Amino acid sequence: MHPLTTMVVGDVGKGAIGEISAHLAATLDRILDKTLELKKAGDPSDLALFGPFLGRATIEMSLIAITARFDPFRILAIRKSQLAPTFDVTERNPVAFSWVNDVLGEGKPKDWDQKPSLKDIQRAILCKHFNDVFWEEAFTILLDSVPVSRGANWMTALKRIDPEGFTFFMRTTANRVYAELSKGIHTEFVIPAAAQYDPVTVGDLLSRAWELAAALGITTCYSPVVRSLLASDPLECYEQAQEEID
Amino acid sequence: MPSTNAEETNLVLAAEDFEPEEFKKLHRFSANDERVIAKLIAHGPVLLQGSRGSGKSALMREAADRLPVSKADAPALGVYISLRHMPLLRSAGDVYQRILCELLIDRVYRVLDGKLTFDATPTLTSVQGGLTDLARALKKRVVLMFDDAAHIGREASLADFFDVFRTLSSSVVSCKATIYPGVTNFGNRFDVYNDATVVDVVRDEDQPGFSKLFADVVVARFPDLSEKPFAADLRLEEFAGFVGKAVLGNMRSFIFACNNIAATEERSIGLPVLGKCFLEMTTNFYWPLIDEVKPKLGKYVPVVDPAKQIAETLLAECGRLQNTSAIVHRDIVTRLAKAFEILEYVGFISRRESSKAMKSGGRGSRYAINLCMLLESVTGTRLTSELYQKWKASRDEPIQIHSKGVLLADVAMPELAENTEPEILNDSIETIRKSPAYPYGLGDRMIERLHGANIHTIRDLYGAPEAQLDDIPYVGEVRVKQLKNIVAQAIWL
Repeated sequence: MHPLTTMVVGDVGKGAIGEISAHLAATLDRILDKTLELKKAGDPSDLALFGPFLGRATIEMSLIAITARFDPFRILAIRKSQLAPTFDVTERNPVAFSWVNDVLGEGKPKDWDQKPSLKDIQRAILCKHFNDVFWEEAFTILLDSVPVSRGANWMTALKRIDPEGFTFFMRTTANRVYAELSKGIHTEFVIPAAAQYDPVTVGDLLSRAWELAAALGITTCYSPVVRSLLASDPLECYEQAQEEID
Repeated sequence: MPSTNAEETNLVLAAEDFEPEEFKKLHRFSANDERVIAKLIAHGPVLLQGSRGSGKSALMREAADRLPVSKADAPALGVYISLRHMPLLRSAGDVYQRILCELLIDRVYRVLDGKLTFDATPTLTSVQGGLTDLARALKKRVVLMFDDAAHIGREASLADFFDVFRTLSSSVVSCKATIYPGVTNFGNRFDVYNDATVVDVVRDEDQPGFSKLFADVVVARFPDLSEKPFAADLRLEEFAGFVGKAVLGNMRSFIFACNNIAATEERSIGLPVLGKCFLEMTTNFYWPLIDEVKPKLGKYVPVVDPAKQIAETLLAECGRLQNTSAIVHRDIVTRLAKAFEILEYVGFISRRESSKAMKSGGRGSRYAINLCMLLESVTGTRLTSELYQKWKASRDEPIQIHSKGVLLADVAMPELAENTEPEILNDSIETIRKSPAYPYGLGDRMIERLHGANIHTIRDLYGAPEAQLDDIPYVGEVRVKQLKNIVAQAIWL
């Protein structure tokens, strides 16, 4: 597996969730390989056309894979709905993974001292409740575990974030990068896209997409509620991923 | 000894003061710097954040230089604009916008160099339209790099600046600006994390390529020094890396240190030379620096004394244990936030980690301590071989300052007055007399001549037209430029 895939998907297990992880890992590997090929070739038109798609796919696949590790119920439910005989590709799947419901969460989530009921508790991966339950603890452990000289440039930046602000930072970063990438995918542009998606801009967007996925991936690896990697060192993967994209 | 030309070149400290050819010849960039430059060239609003002398301006100039109008295959047109302009410091609202638009129009004209037309009057709507038309004519984006927009001591106009920044940003105009950590006030209408990407300019000794970058700078700017023999336990890259680490990765301080070392009469560069340099930097550069910065801080002037108190405490405690970093409990950091930010700004400390577990419970921020200053607090004040190895490795557990301990408990934050203008403007020109705080300041005769020309305050000198200065006896074109640089260094952070 690609080092970034290893960090976000984790070790491929058994059963239904294992099948999902294997599929996500294979798809993400393919996306990352294609990204590197595209960057290496450096063709401006290809970069403008395909770069934003690959960057956005990297973010989406990574977030789905990380959700599968923290909250397998959500992803297994999607699998069940997709396997059901009534599943129709021409119709919108009401339980499909979505940016608003599964990544950002809706409106203002209730604070714990406001006595939220079960239905008030959100399970979006970058929402406040997910932060309070998973991210803050995982990121705190990461900060205390990483030796000073490890993690290269991305870690220098990551270490400057407070655990309390981790999810907010990731959420705003994800939102910005996702929005910028999405505009390059939509075909409503009637002016040449290459003016805005020039090779430097696309390269920067891809690098930011990888950095975001890697930050969430490595933090996941330090969460006590997620199975640790058996055969890989997440820090090594983190360093390798940035070396490849930068 | 370095040649006279090299000496003169190394007296230029701010990237914006270099002539284009000299800038290209003397600046070097690491792999991480290249990432930052790519972010400046790429589309999208970016705020470049870093302390004084961290290299923000150099990165911006380099990015703009890679996007000239003459380069057909460049992805954009780069417009670097330094906002070191006194009327901006003293204006707000519509007046601020008009002055900023005038500066921008003038700069775009200069960048285009007659090769294309740019049609705009000094209103925001007109400049916006003019830039859109220009981008259309060029068939590429326009990148506006606003340097020195943020002035720590003047907050009112920054809300106006960020209004302009946001308004001008569009699908064909990418805006970039430099800001200072923690102390830049963006106003209510600018949401820093949603409206822009914040990029930190940090040079941390643990980053790959750290020592190599500083060694490259020595070779480019101090060729005589790089060819000098090094003592047995030092090589060029080790030497440069260690000095870079000592000054917390701050490029401007590194140049000062190299200037000092280049002047040594010792036959080889060894630890005694480094130790002497560190102590002289402490006395002649760092402590005077905080005094130099103080009158420019506007409403934060009263925070300088507590900041010094914190510095003295950290240096004494780290010096006693010969330790290069300290974890300070977050309650203390929160209580004294502005003072810590000022210390970071002047390069006494640098926050390396936001949050680390403390032995006594709770969490705190880890700060790396300036090693030049630390040496003065170490018993014997000598950079011994043992101390060098210890500081180079930095393997000791950082010292810890707890919330309930006595250290820093007596440091209190003063009340701050609103909308205070930087004191420096009303100071007499004697303030910038040649001294440790202003090593390239005015001589006695020049001060006399300026008084004779009815120039008495810093404000008078900064506002004086070049023709008026040129009329002063013994002041020619070159000296006028030097005077402008000296006074600019005095006013701007």
